[in-house]
Amino acid sequence: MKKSRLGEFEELVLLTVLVLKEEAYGTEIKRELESRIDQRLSVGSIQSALKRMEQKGFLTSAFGEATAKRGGKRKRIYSATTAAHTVLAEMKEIRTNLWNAIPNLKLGLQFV
Amino acid sequence: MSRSSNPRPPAWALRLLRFAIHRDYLEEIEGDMEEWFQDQLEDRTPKQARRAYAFEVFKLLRPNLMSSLSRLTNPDPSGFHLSNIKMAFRVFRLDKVYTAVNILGLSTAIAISLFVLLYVNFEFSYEKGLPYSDRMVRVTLDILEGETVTEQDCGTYPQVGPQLKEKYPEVERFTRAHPIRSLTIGVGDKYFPVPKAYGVDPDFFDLFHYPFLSGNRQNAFLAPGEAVLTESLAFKVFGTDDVVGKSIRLPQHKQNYEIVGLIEDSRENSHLSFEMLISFPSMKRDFNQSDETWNQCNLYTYLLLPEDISYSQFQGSLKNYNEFLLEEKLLEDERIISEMMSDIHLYSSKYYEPDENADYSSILFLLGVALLVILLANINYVNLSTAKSLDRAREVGIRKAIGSSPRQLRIQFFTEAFIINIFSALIAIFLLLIFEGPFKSVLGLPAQIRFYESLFFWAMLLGVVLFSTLAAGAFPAFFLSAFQPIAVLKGQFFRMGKGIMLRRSLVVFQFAITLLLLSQTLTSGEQVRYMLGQKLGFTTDQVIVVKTQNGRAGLEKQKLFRSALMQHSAIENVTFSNTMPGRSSLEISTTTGVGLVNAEKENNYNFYIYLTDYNFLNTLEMELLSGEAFYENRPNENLLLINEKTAELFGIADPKKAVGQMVNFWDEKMKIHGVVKDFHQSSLRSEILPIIFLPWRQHTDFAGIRLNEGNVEDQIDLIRKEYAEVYPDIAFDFFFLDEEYAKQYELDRRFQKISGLLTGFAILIACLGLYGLTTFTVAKRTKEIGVRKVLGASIGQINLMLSREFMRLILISFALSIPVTYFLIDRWLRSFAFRMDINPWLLVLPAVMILLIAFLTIFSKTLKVSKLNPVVSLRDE
Repeated sequence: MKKSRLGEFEELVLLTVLVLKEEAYGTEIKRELESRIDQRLSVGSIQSALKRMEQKGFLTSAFGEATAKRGGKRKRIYSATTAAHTVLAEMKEIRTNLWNAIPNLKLGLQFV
Repeated sequence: MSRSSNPRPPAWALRLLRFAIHRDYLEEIEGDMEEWFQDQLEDRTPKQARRAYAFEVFKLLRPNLMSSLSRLTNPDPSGFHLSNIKMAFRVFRLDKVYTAVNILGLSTAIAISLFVLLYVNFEFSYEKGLPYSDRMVRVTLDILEGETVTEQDCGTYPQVGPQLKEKYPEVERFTRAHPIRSLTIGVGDKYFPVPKAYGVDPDFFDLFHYPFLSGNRQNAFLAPGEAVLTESLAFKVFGTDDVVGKSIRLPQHKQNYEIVGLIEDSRENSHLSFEMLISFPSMKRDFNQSDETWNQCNLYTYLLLPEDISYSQFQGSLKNYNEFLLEEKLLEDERIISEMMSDIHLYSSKYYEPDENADYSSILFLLGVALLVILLANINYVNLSTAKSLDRAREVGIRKAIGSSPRQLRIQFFTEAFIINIFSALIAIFLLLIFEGPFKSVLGLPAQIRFYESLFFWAMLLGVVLFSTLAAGAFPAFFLSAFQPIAVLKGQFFRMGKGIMLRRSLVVFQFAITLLLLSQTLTSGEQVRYMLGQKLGFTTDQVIVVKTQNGRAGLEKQKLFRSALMQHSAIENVTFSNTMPGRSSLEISTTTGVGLVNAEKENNYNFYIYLTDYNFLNTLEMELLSGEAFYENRPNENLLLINEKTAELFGIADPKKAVGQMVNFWDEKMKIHGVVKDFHQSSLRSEILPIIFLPWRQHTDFAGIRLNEGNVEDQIDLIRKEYAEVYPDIAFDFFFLDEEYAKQYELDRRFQKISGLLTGFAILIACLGLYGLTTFTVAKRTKEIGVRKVLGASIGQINLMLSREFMRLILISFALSIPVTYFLIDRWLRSFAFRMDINPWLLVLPAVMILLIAFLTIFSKTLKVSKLNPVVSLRDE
């Protein structure tokens, strides 16, 4: 597998970036993802995932506005690249195909 | 929580964040963190939020978010880089003479100064290892005339220790140590001499910290007849360390002693060394030493002060004690004083010191010389690097032009100095390992000291390297980094005479120091030679002295021994006495309160007492100025001889008038029978002693035997044979009088050897520097030399031209140095009671020697260049 792959957590962060569109910066991503998976996340884990994906070419970023709440520091707004869209679509397809390939699952569940 | 109160995240966490996070990410992440922190404040207390913030910062410390490691090790972008080292090595490779001269000079200098530091450290380590060393005090005796101290005596009276302890809470414990010289012990039919033994109190083992290796400390040394051996004596006598419970014989005292304990050998760095200890009560029983006497002050007294008592408090009680002694009429014209135990070795030099102590000022002198040697090597470095500044000016200019700060340049020059020093230190360690043995013997250090095991050594090494780096690197660093890039790059620098004056004055300084050291070495050598060559007042060669400590019944045996020896033609004369010239004045008993019967006022001088037979002056070839020697076959009742010095102290100007005068000697009246010409009892460092000769009545310690010409080996065998006949149970022990006498100069000789060695290296280092400078100058002037030769200059002229500059500097340095040197040598000589006059050649000879060596150094370099074919030198670029 030569192609750069996404980890599970990275995939979640990437999807959140897509959801938030222009509002996709560190703290907002964290807030959004935390509410969706109902789990606390550290700033470090989010930032680390963002930087990794930026290096892999799934994200680009640019400085945004600065607010007083941020102590005058600018936000960095992330946006997904085409490569990210492609990989996400690929992964979704692989998952769908795999789900479809499990015909006995419902049967199995019945025995429970 | 309202915003207005404005709680901040913890400052340290923020600092950590700013320090650790990669600069590109910092603004974003710091902002995110701030926003998150503000969110936290919505539903948490500020305290919780702050804690959470700090925790969050730690979770941010991930490799892909942090600064690169290289930035961490290099927090300051204008600081040290690895490339500094690379540059340094390029500089070293470029000029091998420069590098070699520096490393050679510095490594010898470092090695030398480390040796000296080790020696100094050893001298300073005396008594420092003792558990109570900072609370221990030795009390000694000052002999007074009015309020002036005429003499200081290490010995005190036996009751001083016990009384002080009993009377004053400022004294916790005490021990006395009564020296016993030249003891013989016997086991079976074998006899062993014990040169140094002491009779001590039980507390000695605690205070001097000699725990028993075997044997029971409890109740030891309370009764007479007990002995403790050191390990090496135990092995020598018994061949084993299992000696406790065994007994030894003291044939001189006809007693058996039980060995109650075994201890380690006495420490090398203690002022009190010994082979054996015996219990203090034995002194009274077997050695005729009263415990109560206030007439004999033959023993050393050490006190332990309690922890909460200061030394000055104790001195207060000592003053009080002295008043008590005066009131009780126990002391008169004497005062008991104290000194700290740890000061004894370096500062105390009184009469009857147990061992010879070190001289603080000569230790400081050595330390100073070591420092000078290091400085000389550093001067080489400074001189060579400023000389090379022409070469490096362009480099500095370019570096500055492309943005190097003066600070970066300085770091570069310090790096170079540091690397040179590190290399030199490594070589110095090799030198130390190679020359360890010879150096230790020259310095008189115990062989078992391993310098590389001590932390002190490595700390000193580091210290020396850092000092030397700073001393050597500072000048080039500040001088070279200050160049103006535009001037330098335009080539204007080349006409500037920067640094030349400094270089000249440093060369002058180096050679001034060299001359001083060489003169001092020559002077001390000459002084020792002068002292050895002086007429001593007796003749030492051909005299063998046999120790005859043979108990109370020895008188008859001594007569027997003499008559046995006198049968042989090899032996010219035999005499018996209680001491010999050249023996330390320690061994001779002294007395005060002796004076002419019709003296106007009583004197308080201390006189030394010789017990001799009729033959003494004859055998040692001492001269009699007036009167007669003791009679051989008539009783010498109430007769005594004095020497010139004593006559002088008695107030008798003419020796002839002394004969027949009456002297109050203790309770007797005695008649002066003759006056002996002054002689040197000890080395010429000391004054002539005032001596009174009393006729020999009982056994004495020494038999002086003057030999006729002949084979000395055979003569000794002969004496040994006769000795064994007369004294079958006592070890035969002898010495040559001239060797014994020369022993006194051992310290002087050692000092001379050390300073000679240091001087040799100082000259070497100075010449190395000169060589480096000449190499440099010659290289710069190769083309000029070529032109001069083409125009007809001779080789001689060119050599003269090249060496003239340095020779002039050396002559200037001599002119400056000679007055200082003269002054210092003169001061040094004043420490001798008998000294030679300062000869001009003591200054001229070193000057000529240095000039010659310097000239050869320069010549070796210039000759090559001046002989070079101009075709070659003109092509030089």
